[in-house]
Amino acid sequence: METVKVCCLPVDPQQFTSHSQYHRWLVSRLKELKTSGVQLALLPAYTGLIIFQANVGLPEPAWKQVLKRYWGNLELWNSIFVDIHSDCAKQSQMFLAAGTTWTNINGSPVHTAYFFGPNGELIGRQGQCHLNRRERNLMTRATDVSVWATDIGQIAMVVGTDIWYPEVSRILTLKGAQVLLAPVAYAAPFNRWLQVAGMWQEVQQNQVFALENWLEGHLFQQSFAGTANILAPCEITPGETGYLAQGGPGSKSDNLPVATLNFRHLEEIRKSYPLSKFLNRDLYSRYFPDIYRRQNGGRIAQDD
Amino acid sequence: MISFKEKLLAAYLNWQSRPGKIKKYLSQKSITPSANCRHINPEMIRVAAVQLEMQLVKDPLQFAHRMYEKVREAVQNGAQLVVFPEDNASQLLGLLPGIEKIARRAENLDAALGQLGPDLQVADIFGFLGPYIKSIFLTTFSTLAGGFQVYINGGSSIFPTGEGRVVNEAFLLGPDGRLLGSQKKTHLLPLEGEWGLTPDCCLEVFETPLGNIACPVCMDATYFEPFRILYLLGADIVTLPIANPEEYNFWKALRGIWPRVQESPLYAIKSAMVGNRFLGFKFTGRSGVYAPLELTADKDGVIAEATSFDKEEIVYAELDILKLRAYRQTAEVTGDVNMELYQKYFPQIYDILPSK
Repeated sequence: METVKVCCLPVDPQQFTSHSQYHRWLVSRLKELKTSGVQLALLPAYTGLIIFQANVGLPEPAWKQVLKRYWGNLELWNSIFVDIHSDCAKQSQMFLAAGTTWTNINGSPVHTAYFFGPNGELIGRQGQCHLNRRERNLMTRATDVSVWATDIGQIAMVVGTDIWYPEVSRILTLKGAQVLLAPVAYAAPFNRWLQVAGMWQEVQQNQVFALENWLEGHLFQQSFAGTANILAPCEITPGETGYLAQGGPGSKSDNLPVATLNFRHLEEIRKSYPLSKFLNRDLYSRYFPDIYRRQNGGRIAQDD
Repeated sequence: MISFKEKLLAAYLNWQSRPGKIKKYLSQKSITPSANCRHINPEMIRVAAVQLEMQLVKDPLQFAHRMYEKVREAVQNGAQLVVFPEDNASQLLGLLPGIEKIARRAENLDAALGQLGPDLQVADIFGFLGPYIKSIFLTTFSTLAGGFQVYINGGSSIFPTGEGRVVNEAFLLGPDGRLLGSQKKTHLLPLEGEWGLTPDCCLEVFETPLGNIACPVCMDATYFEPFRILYLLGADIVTLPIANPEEYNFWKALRGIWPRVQESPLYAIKSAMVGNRFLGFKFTGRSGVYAPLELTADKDGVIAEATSFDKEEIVYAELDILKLRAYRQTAEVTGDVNMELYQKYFPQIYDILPSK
């Protein structure tokens, strides 16, 4: 498939009073997008919590308490999460990157994104591999990454904090990913340069496409801010900015970023300016992975 | 067997590049030891990034004079560390007899080489000329660094290694004029690959009273790997000479050092070569000094930046090394490690790359 039409769909966390209302809204929005030719949609992070908030109607407890309650009944909430999004993908006949929830790995929660196919099948899940300072006391890291071969290309997901860890996008690209999907949630206020330091620059150094969708709105005493964008190497974007489509602030439908990914253009830029050809494996072999032990004061062979 | 013409050319270049000639010339300049590095405050390291116009320089003394003027200006403005662009010494291609005429006639470098001889690669030219250029380059900057008593990254040029390779290499000199070290480029521009250059596979960090300094070159900043390694090797400051052969575009220019210091918390000093009349090449900037977002006034990662992308100027900034090191301990998003993931994939994931 040479081209794929894709979209980032913002979700206002406060607009739902039940999970069935969320379900109906999402089916309706996705069907609208489908009629305009969209084949893949990305939701922001924390959609599992949005469903939880809608369903439980709690008087806004503190964040940690929310997570504890959610994780305390994870099997139930994940079941609802999967059922809703699987059905939405099936009814709209679209690929759906359904945002995130948590999965239980050996008794610890891992922030996890889900990717569904147009028949409602679960194509794959991707856990978050790096944690920010606040997350380190709350959850655990995933230890592997996946690329999924689909009819619309080689797809992978970069979850939350991983957008600021270039190791993840690099591994995924070398495993064959052509499109990276990044559901993110970051506390307000929004700094656009923090966003640019994430997927925008990953796209440039890996020569891939990416969709990013940052949660915008209020969820359990926390304000989240950010925008949704569709990204590509500068050379194949209007004005060479690296943006195929940009959403504005807020989660209104008129800010919806929609774009067509042209894989032939991507291959052309990869051929004419082959960054991967000049990756230096001899250099990396000399230092990786042991040098990472130094991050937390560890020593490596070269220190002794 | 070396021809008579080659012997003559070698003798001429030897004569032109003799250190005594340059030292004598610079001794007549007003070079007095500055107090800039006498008392170093790690909370206030003053740095300068020189944005320089690329010119074909025929006379080594002309090169020495230009460099002297820039260093003097930077020193007078309090700089303790002065950084010059990539391909700085390549200006001395002008030493080749007749190159000016060839450059005027030829549309681009390949066309110019074609006039010099069949099957000639850029690596061949620099392989031959390199030792003479290096002598001029190191003598000039050693004299200036020692004379003004400041640290200088003189930028880079293309030099033979003596092991049959030709590399792009940058040099760091200390306030006593000694060579503290050099860094060979580890990631080539596609064009450099075509020219016959080879990348290096080693990175170094140089401990100085200003902080720990690393000197990668230009394209190295397109890849996160060298900066991750330099950060983990203990670098505080990265000096990055660049010579970007394309029209200026804000977003394309943003792709290099700026994201690298967001991923791996470092200070970076980028010095850009500019100019549009060098053997068919157009070089654009902008030079600047960059840091993690939280360490910059506007939270945009920019401490200071050149006002133009195509004119000579010097960019100054002050770096707080202690603040950087403290920031690393409390940074919100960076600083995590996933050894299990890295051990699973590094370095073997890179083996899927086609052999060059």
